[in-house]
Amino acid sequence: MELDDADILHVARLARLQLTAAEVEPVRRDLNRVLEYVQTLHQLNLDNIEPTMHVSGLRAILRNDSVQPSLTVEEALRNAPEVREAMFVVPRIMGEGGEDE
Amino acid sequence: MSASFEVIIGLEVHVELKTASKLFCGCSTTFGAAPNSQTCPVCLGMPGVLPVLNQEAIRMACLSALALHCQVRPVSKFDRKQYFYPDLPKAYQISQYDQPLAEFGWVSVRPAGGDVKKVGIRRIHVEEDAGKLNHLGQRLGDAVGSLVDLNRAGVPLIEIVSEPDLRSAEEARLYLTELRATLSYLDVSDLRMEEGSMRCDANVSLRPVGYAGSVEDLPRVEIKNVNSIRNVQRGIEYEIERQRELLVHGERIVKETRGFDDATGQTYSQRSKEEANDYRYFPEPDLPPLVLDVSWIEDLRRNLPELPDAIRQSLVARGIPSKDAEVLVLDREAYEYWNAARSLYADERTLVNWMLSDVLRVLNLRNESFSQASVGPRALVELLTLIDQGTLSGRMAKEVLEAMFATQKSAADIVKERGLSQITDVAAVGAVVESVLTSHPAVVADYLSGKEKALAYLVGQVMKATRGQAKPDLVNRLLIEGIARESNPTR
Repeated sequence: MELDDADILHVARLARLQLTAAEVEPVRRDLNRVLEYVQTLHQLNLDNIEPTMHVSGLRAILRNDSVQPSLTVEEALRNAPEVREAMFVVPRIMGEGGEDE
Repeated sequence: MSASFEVIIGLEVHVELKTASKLFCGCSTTFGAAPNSQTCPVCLGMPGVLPVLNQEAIRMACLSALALHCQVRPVSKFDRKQYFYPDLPKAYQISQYDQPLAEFGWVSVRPAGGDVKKVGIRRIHVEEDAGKLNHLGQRLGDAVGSLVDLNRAGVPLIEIVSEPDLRSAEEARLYLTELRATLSYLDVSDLRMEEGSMRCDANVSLRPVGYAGSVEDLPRVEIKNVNSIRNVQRGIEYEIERQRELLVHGERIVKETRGFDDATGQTYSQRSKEEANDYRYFPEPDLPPLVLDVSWIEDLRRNLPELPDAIRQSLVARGIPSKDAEVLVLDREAYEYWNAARSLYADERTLVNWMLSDVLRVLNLRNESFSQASVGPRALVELLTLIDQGTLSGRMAKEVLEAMFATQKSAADIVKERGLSQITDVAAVGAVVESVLTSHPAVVADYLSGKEKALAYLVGQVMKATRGQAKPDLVNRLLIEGIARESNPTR
């Protein structure tokens, strides 16, 4: 499968990357090369091999439902560019071409 | 003649599990704490942290799945659902995608006058909640910005996805009511829609009669995050009519997400979903698969509490009218109140009558629920016992009940204080009856000429004279006997 420009723009949008027109072509070339490399896996014979769910081979380790101390509000907000009423301030969400989930 | 359509509804219900700590970290889940006071590097999405699953969340999720007749998978896994939104600090939500915790369940609904209908549950999966956004503006659309509180980020949720089996807004209401009642008996969630501990998204589409394709391919509108069961019903009702209008006029339904405006009862467009969601799920590398012992699952199943269907059956078998049984089943607190009271009082029907008429009326006035009722089961039974002993008439007892709520005193104390004992002495009541008959000859004549209502007036006069304390059936009997004697003195 080969990615075209439309695929590149779609993936870029999902990742919030703004590609200039000049950047699309080299990115497409590089990504296709990566995919091509991964295709090597198709050469393996995977008959009778269970799909891998997780590389560790472990089972989930569960913890008891006990409350541990949280950060202070000051610590939690320390990296925020803008704070108001002890909350993180974020810019307007809807509109401006960025209507997303 | 307009084209006809069949309504297709599927519901996605998110339920917050009431664990003490979050799904993947030890932060408290207490509702209403100061903003951002219950966060840590894990739920803030700091780099380099690792999630560790909360055992109690898994237990509660399994219990819910079993109560909803689902099959719990012995092996399930967690996946990352990627999207950008400010309430999601990691830019992905840890959820379950292709191997959810449980599948293939059902909820039974009982449409009025119809047969019991099983509504399928496609899947139940475990995931983390997002934070809470407070928009700076009336609506998301015109907000200039938002404030983010991450206390809720990482609180455990189960998402219960129904099959598109519902055919009306009323069926959707019944499904939600039954689902909530079932979960209420498990003690796994507060289930408060107004606080967001239970949330519902409704997918609504109309299928033209004769349409042969898959339901999944119909243009579907999702009504998001409505804050009460009543409003889910209203939103669906509005949406059905809106879509019908469009289709009848040959217009197209746009696949989109819509909000619900409580004030107008209308849905409004929030965002278009024309472009398919592209969440790029992939297995969560930080969490190995969840493997559950089959014996542990079976143990949970064996220890499920009594659930609505069984409770309904046992109530009706005890002679409780099905309408009353329904009220008790759907309100766990009422059912527990009843259970406590019936262990002290034999006449279960009388008990239910009092609970669901008089007690419920006062509770509503006082904005109390059965679990916090100022007059508990034992106090109510004491009151009913006074009626049975003849100390109080039913009417006096209603008055005493209100006084019990207001003063927290026992029925016996109120009777004593107010000198309220019912007058059952034949001679005492008889004397009053005689005087009422003597002073109302015209009314007596009316009664004798066939006006049945005249008797009620005379009863009222006796009651008034005795401050409501004369035993009503005794008053009736003595009046009729008295009139008979006067009109037929020769006998």
